[in-house]
Amino acid sequence: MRSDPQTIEADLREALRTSPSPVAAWPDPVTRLAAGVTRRRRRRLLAATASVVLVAGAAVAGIGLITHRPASTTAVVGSEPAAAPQILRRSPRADRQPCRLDNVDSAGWIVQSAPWGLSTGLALRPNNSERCTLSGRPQLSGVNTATGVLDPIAAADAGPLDSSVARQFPATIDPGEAARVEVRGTKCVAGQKPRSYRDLVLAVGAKKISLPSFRRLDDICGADVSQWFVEPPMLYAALNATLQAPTVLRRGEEFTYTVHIDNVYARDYSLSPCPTYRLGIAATEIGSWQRVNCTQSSIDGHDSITFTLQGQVPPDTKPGQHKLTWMAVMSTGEATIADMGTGGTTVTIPR
Amino acid sequence: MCPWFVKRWAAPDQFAEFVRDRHAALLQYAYLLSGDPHLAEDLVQDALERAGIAWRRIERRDDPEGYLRRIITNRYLNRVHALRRERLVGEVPGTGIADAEQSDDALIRLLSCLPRQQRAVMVMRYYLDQSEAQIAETLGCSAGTVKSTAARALTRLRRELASDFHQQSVEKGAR
Repeated sequence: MRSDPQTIEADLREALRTSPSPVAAWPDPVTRLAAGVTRRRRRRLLAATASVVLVAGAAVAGIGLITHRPASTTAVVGSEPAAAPQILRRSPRADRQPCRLDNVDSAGWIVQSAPWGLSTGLALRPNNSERCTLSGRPQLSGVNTATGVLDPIAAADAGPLDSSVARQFPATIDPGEAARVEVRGTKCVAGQKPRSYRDLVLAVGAKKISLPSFRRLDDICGADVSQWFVEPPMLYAALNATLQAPTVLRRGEEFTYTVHIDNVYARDYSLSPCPTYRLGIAATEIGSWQRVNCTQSSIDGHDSITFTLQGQVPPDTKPGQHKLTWMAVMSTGEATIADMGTGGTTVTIPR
Repeated sequence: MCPWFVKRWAAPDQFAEFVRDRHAALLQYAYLLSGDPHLAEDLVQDALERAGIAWRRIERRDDPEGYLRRIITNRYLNRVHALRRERLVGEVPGTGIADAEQSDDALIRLLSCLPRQQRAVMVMRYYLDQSEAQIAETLGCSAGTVKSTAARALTRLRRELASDFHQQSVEKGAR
């Protein structure tokens, strides 16, 4: 490379053109794409069907069809219950070489901290410099508190655990990313004697991973252990949402809040059908999915819209500071989360 | 007979041919854009899956590859990292993330210090040889914005490069 910084444009051109690619061409690219395209087509059909049903329902109820109006900053009040939407997520990755577990960067227990957050379970970050795949199901064992002996805890169900969170099996992870496994105790049925376990250990081949000491399985008859999985990130809309709510909210109180959505791009962003949203306090959702009764069919480029909505604080919310969270799923299936940078708006629940 | 939405999708011949011929070039573009080989694969897979659904419409365009590059660019610029909404509790034996693969070329390496929008403009301008108007169309902004973004990026690259050379001279002198 030449040393004169004045030639930077020519140097940059040459460097970009001659830079060797560390990404190898895929051996069978068409097959690799087929499953993803099939999945997207099915999801589209479902979304389209849901839209048709919604519009027809609204027409029958006399609400009237959505009409196009010039987009501007407008306050829209109200919402109605809606079915859980299909959220676009990152496509499953192709399998890679098995992850080496002889050197693990971190292993920790995850606690879900938002309604759409990651599910509770063990997250393991192997120290790999390449994308790798962790597959299969680890074996769970623990010290039986009655006998003091380390016993295997039999998996009661070999299938993947039910969860509302999207999961991709096996876990193909990038350096620094976590593979996850969920452990769930199985309740005893009549006639079974419950057991309790401490010092839980997951075995993956010869490697043994100790779970944090506070994790125990009490009064169970076996446990379900999932296969290794990843929770693919949602795909986000090119929108910025901010939520404004009273800073102090009482338990059981109904409150009004506003959500301001900015379209950061020059292109219009469709609001047809209207976004579906979910409000939450910390990891607890408030009510079910709701659809905003919006009257605009789109947000113009670089324009914004404000929704004024209502929520209710669950009566059993613990006093203290909490994050009020708001997530919407747009007509495309892309997600928008209010105040993404701060994880929500801080509210105080007094005693 | 299975309805179409239950059946596994079969790639149209022209799409399959396009993918076989051009996916490596798209991977290279995505890599230069993101500087991350793994992210590049995800971006290309996502873009090609989107294109697979709408292939009939896309192939009628003059430049399907340009359309794919536009999807890749927009997905890259709009990409938000997986939310750090998880809280790890309990014992963490150690920390540390493997370093991203470093390019040997100083300029390619320096590209990573640019904000994403500036980096995208550099790659489109000097790798794809696109005009300011073409870049502006892809990014949905004005040609003036592209021009000022490119100027800021070049200024920063010059500054970083000069400091790199200065650092190397100091190190040589010390030896």
